[in-house]
Amino acid sequence: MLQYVLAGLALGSIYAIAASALVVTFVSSGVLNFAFGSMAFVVARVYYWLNSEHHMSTIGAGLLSILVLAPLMGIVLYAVLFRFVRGKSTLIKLVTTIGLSVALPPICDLIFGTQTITSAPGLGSLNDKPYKFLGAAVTTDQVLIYGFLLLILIVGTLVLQFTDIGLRVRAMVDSEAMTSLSGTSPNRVSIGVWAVSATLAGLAGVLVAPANGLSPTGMTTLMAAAFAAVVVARLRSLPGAVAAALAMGIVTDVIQKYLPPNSSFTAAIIPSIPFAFIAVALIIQSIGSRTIDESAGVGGPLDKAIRPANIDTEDATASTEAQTLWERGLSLLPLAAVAVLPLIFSGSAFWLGLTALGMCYGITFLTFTIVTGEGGMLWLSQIIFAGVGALGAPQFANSWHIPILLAIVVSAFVAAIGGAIIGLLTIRLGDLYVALATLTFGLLIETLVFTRARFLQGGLGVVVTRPTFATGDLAFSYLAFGAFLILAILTWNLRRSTSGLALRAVRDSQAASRTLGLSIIQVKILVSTIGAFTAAIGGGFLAMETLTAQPSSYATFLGLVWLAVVVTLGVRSVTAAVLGGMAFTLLQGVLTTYVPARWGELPAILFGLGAIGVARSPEGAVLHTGRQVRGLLGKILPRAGGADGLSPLALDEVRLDAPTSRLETPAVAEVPVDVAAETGSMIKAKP
Amino acid sequence: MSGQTRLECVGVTVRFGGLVAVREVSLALPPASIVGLVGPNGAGKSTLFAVLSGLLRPTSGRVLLDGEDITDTRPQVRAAQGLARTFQHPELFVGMTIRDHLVIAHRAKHAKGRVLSDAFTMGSLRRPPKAETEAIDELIELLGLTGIANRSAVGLPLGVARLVELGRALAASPRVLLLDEPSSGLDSAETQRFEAVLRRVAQERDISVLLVEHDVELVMRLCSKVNVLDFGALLASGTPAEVRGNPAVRAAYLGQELAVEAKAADPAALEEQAVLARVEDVSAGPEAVPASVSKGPLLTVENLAVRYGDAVALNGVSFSLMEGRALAVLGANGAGKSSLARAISGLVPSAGGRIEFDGRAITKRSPHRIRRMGLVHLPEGRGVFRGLSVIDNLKMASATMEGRRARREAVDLALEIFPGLASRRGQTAGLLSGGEQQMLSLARALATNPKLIIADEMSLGLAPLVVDLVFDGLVRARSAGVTVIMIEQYVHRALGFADDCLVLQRGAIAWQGSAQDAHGEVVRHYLGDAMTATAAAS
Repeated sequence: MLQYVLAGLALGSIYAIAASALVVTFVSSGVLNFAFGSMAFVVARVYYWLNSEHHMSTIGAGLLSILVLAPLMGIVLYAVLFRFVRGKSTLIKLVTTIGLSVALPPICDLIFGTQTITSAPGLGSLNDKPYKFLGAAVTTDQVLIYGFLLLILIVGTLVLQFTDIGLRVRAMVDSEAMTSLSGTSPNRVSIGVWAVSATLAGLAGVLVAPANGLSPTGMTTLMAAAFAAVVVARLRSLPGAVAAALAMGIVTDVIQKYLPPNSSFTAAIIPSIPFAFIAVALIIQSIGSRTIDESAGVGGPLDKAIRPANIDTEDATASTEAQTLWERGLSLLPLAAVAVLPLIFSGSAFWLGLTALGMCYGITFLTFTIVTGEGGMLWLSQIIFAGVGALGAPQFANSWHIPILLAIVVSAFVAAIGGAIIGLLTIRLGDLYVALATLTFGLLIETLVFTRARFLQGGLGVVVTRPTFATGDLAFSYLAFGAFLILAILTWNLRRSTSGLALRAVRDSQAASRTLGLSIIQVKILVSTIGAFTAAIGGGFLAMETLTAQPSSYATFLGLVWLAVVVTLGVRSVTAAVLGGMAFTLLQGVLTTYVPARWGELPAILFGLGAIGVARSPEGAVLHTGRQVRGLLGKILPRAGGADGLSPLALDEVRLDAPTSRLETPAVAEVPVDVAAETGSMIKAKP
Repeated sequence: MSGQTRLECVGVTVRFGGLVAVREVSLALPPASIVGLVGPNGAGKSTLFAVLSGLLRPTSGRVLLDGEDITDTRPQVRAAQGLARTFQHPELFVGMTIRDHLVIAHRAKHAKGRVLSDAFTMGSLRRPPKAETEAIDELIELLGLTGIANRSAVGLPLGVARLVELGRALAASPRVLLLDEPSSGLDSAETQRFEAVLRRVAQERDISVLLVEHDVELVMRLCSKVNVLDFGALLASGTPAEVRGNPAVRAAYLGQELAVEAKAADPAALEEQAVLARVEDVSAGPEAVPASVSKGPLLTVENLAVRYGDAVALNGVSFSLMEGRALAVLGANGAGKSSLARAISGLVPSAGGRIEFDGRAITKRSPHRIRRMGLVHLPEGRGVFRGLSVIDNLKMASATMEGRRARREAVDLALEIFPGLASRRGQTAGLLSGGEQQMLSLARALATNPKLIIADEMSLGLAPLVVDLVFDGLVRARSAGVTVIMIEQYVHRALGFADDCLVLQRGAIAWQGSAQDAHGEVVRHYLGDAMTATAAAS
């Protein structure tokens, strides 16, 4: 028993280190860092590179990576990114940190190579003899982990409570405005906090690598567990987060004593413990109050009073005045270009295949257009619904002997029910909690359901057949494009209909919607149902295109990459969804054909940086370039008329997050957006 | 009764913990009329508004709509029953056109099923019903928004935004309309336009309107009946003429000593006074203004403008303040006083103009650098870190001093000036009484040898006897040679304290001059010309 408790305590200690870093940055700067896992990965990867690949001593490599590189990374990221997202809406904060989490690991791979690391050493040596404690064995690694947590807790408490620096951090947590009125620069305090937080991320990454594996997925799992502890602690309580993390670690290990070893049941229960913690915490917290407001208590009343004045009022007023026929025609151009693409590529099996795959991604990406673009909810579990479509369709087709297209629709209905349930469960949560809950839900389904032998088929995946009339890639491309068009029109109708108006109303102002008598629950469940349905259809098509359904293709972390792609090109635009799909696959094609293999992950970097760019250009690249094109044409052709900047893309209206879109800060990431825009145009330029 | 009144509240009381925000208030809205609700800052108007609109349940009392008890119904349900409202800060659907605002409000009331069914029946392809189109066209015409109806609601001027909110409320065909400070942040042309629309609405559409406003003059012009709230209770109620002539109303608005004495018997306040007075050495006589030593201008403000999003908070404000003098900044609620303080201290960016302090331009400087130059802003609502202990609050203030020793001396000095704080050094500042928090705020300022103190509404919400202590603290600052800008609700006391006076109205300077000449001017700008005339006649 003690053996399990000690092992659990070690795991819990790592969670606690991560959770305390997350809490400190959240309370002092208002950003819940979704890139935490990736930052941990970068530092752990550097440690591995120094220690295992270049044989630097453990201490040297540890000091260099954790105490030098990690704080430096924190400072740089604060200077170029986190500084600008402060005070923006939760959605923008989430998307930018998610973009960072997508971009960091491939940048790291680019530098250090992409080989899979099977076993990462910890800070302790494996050859050391384990210590004995009351008859239970304790490894050096475990002792080091306990030691680090104790050290952090003691030093952290001492610094926070008894030093001037700690006082300033506590003052910042109380009120940023009052801090600056007291003559202390909030920026300097924030730099320090981010440096410390990045250091803790690095430490947690290095410590967890031997257990979780040195991979972005392993680090995402660490982050999800830390998030669970943070949610239990209501985002703000440092001791609460540490206690919850330790409890979670101990439960995780002790429960293994009572579960059958090496069974699929055990393998499924263990990773779902953080999800259980989040679920229980959310239920308890929502019983206490009608709605959970994560922004409550960040800053004081003075900070709230001055916030609107710090919004940059220079805003390109997007208008939706009636468009001329000429402009409507122009807006269909990108769609028409996509439509002829399969014909252009029909001579090359490679490019045609990629085009067909891009169409399927286009369908899938519509789910983000619906849920995030229309519904204003950031769901991180959409890839799971796509997985339901992909993995479920062949099951229904085989066991019920129905055509595959019908089977896809059936599994889409299953996903829709799942979407409705998640929508209902998260209805009262704020944006941040919705993202956290859907992230853990995604990880839960991924480990609990997608790992069943029925779906894995010994690693080969489930075989999927295409309908008999569309076995060739050309025919299949047009089948997929047809499906895209149907769903695109549905999305378009949703936007323009009464339902869409109600959705937008609820998204823009819940208070005003209530006074109109609009039911927030109704419209949110409507959009989550349709969103999950669309994702599953897209997933089914992806499976048909590749002819197999691999559970590993629908991992939650990959979903973040998908989100980054869509957000880069424009989450409010139907056209951007299909252009995103095309860019995603064709760009990879271009890279594998013309560029050395090590640059293969460039798209992920570009799209990650593109998502970071939403802090500057929330409407995404397609609308952004669209407006630029129209501005250009307006100069050439005076009759293009209309004083306001009007998008030439008829299906597309405004933006991810209009109220906060005015918070455009001039310094961030203009370049990535433009790069992403070029990837869009590359589709047309390529043939 | 249902024939007589549309909306009625009977004996409504709202308590937040020990604080009584609204006490036994009853008021009624007759059909097709505009009724006003006014009162000074913190009188309980917003709380009462929240009770009527359904966001807050009263501790006791009832709310009736057409005679039916709706005290416990949610805002959604009240909307369906014919109650509509607007917001003080417009809550527009920024992703939608102006026309769509009205369409969704109309359908939410008249075609509720379409919210769900349209997504599946391709509802966007069907033409809207003729009756709906006509109703909305008529409404857009009434609002005078015909030319821009298809424009997106992003970046609308505040005056238009308020009209759109009004239109959205009207599109749901309400019987009762609640308006929350509809003229705040509007310039006078925009206010006139809103007023004209509102008049037509009440006349043509048979709607009862409750107007919660700080612009007393507007209320007097528009309303058939005016209710005045003060300290949560109904102070006066009647026709505009009756309310104008009521001396208690004048006292409430100007914070006269008359009201102060009446409340002096409050035992809790006396006790707090005793606690604070025991530890404080009040050597200076009450409000003895020291002879001002004038040198050059310490602060010069030229053509300053401040905006909150689309709302203009300040426009074209210019003045200069000599070293060692005290300036009282007065004006009705929402006139831009706090914005002026925030812009000078760098908390909010200025949208235009120039600020010079101690010979240097500080217009674009960040607040912590301005603070280090010796300009201290004590913000409205207790300028302390509520989560930190008293001693930590003082240590944070001393962070501007160079050197560890100077910092320690500053903390010691603060405890010397306000010895009452020493016995509470470990206590969390948020748990101190209001008066003690203001003492701490002042101590934080005085300990660091400031050149200029901007004190924003320091006496707000304090028991009258504690207000004396706040004024004593500022007198002490003046006698130490500190220049003071005071934003105050107790008009006469502020004028007694200050040398100069600045009256703000709708974000612009309405009057400036010597404090002695200011009394008559202030009354006029707070309560409107009509009121002054009545007072003079009586």
